[in-house]
Amino acid sequence: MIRSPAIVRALPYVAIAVAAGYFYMLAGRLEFDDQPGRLGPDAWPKGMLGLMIVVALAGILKALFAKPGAGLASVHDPLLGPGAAEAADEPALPKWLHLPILGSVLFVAYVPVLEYTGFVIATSALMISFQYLGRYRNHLVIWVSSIAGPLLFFLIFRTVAYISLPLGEGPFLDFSVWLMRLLGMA
Amino acid sequence: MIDVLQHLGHGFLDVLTPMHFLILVVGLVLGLLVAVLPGLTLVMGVVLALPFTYGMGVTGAIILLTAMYVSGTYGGAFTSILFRVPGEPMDVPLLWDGYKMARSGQAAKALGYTLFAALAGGLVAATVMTLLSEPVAKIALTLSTPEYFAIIMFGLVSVVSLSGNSLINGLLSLFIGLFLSTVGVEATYGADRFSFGVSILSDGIEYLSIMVGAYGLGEVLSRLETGFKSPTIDVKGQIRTSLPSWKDLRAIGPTFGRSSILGVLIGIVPGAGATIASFVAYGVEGQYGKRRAQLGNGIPEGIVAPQTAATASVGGAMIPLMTMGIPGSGATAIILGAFLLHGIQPGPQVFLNSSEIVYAVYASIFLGIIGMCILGYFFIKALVRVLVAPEAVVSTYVIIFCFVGALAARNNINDLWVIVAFGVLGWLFEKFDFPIAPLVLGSILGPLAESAFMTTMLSFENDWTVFVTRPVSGVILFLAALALLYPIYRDWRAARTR
Repeated sequence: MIRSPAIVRALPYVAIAVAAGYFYMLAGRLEFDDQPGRLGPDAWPKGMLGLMIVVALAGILKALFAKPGAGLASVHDPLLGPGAAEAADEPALPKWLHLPILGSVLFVAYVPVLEYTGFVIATSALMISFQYLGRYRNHLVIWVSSIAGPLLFFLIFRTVAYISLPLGEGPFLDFSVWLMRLLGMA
Repeated sequence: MIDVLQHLGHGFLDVLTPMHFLILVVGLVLGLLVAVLPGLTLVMGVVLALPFTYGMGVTGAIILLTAMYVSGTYGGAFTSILFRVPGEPMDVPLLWDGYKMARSGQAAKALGYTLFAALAGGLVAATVMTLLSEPVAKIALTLSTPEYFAIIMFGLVSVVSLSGNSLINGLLSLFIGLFLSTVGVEATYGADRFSFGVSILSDGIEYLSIMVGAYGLGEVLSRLETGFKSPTIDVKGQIRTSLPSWKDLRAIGPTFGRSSILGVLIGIVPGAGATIASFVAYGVEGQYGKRRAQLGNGIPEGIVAPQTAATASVGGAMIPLMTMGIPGSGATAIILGAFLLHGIQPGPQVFLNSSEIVYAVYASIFLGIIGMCILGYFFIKALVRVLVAPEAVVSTYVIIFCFVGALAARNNINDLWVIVAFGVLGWLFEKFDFPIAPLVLGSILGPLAESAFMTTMLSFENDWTVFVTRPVSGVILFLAALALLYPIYRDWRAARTR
């Protein structure tokens, strides 16, 4: 009988199989000038996607019907030394799934914020939010590291590495220009 | 032989120029720091350093990355032995005996054995690498596209079979990487593949974005799931290294010999890096060592075996990279990326056209091994102080390095979307136990594999049997099949035993 944890285990493989099937279909619709006797630009991706579908189907079957943990021996298992037992006794750390999800949201938000507010403000904001999100609570370290770091990066990249970090728009552009003058940049 | 020594001599002179020497020292220090910090892995460190090499010449860029790679195999030993904090997975076997030696008051001696193992193992492997490279490159020159395709397949399959817990997940990771390498405008027909009219996808997905996103941002997100921890380690007190005596060295001679050979051989196998070498060497010591019964109770053999093999694997991994353009480990995959970014394709031709670069890199490995030991001996106390850096701060700096690195590549803010996407994908991979190494290697070697496959099909009138009927490619593909099938056989036997 198939239990619900098995279905959850199968989900990543289902997602991969569906995505691979979709891209396989797209590969069949590629536009190019066919040359007789030569494989087209669709051949290689079709091969990869076809194999991906086959392996994903195997993954689905394994997730649904094999016992959990069966056939999942690590490459290191036969070589594990005397520390393995000690490691197994150590309590597992608590996990909070919402933290990496919120962290991903911060990453996604960073890109438009970076364009609008410029490197120093956007990066400082990201660093401060990320450290608080990660349950770190030393306020002095958080604020000092998050303000000093981006300033240092800004200085090094604009004066030594000549990488044009975004300056922002509107009032944020004015702020970045003021900051550049303050830091002695041309 | 004389030619090789001459080239190597020129290489030493090149590395000893002020700029290259400075880059070497910076690389060694960065490698040691990355290895000491538990929040940063060696591969991640090398990835983060890659964007800073854009403005350098190719020799300087490769010297920086290889120096980080070499010293990264050594730095984690300190924290593993002194504080039971392995900076890298490869340092785990070191703590089984090293930490016990440290607790029994022999910390300085344990660090001395580590230093000797890293120095001697590294130099032996570097010598083997220098001597073997030209003959291997000459053989590689005679190979045709079916053989190249077979070698690439062997590399990719080895990565899959060695990089994780599940063969299915490893294969899927590999195929996703290979598929991603096909995105963008195809060179021969000009067909736009899977870009959906999005300009950043039409140019293709940079493997750098995949590496930085998956290894950098992905790892940070994974660590975030357990919350960032504050440092709890006291790095005060006396920390020093005491070198072993001649008598001590003679006693560990067989261990050193076995582990050096294992390290080089495992390094050569594509996909198996320092971590596998370290574990295997410890396992072999447990089976064949003279004092195998005492292993795990704090004896020098338990330190010398994994450390020698880990450092020796660097020289081994450089052989397939330089002679065939096939990376032997995660770090060499990034070094391959650095070569490609500077317009140089490692392989047999590079020995003919740019031998000065090859031997400068080789010379830097020799000097790097000596340099890292000197740095480790004199500055260990300062190095381990980075352990007091809070994980939260280190992680946010990793994030900023990732974003700035992606910006530096093309100065295009849209590239940040790509690394964010691969950061989330990297976290999902970790979450669902999909290994990242095959994804990255697939995206790097995908274009080479496709090109070798398509050229073969064109040359041999679409006769795919040529891959198995030509002796060399047939044998290599047979080995690849063995590498793939062995874990299945092992799991089947384990299941039957249960």
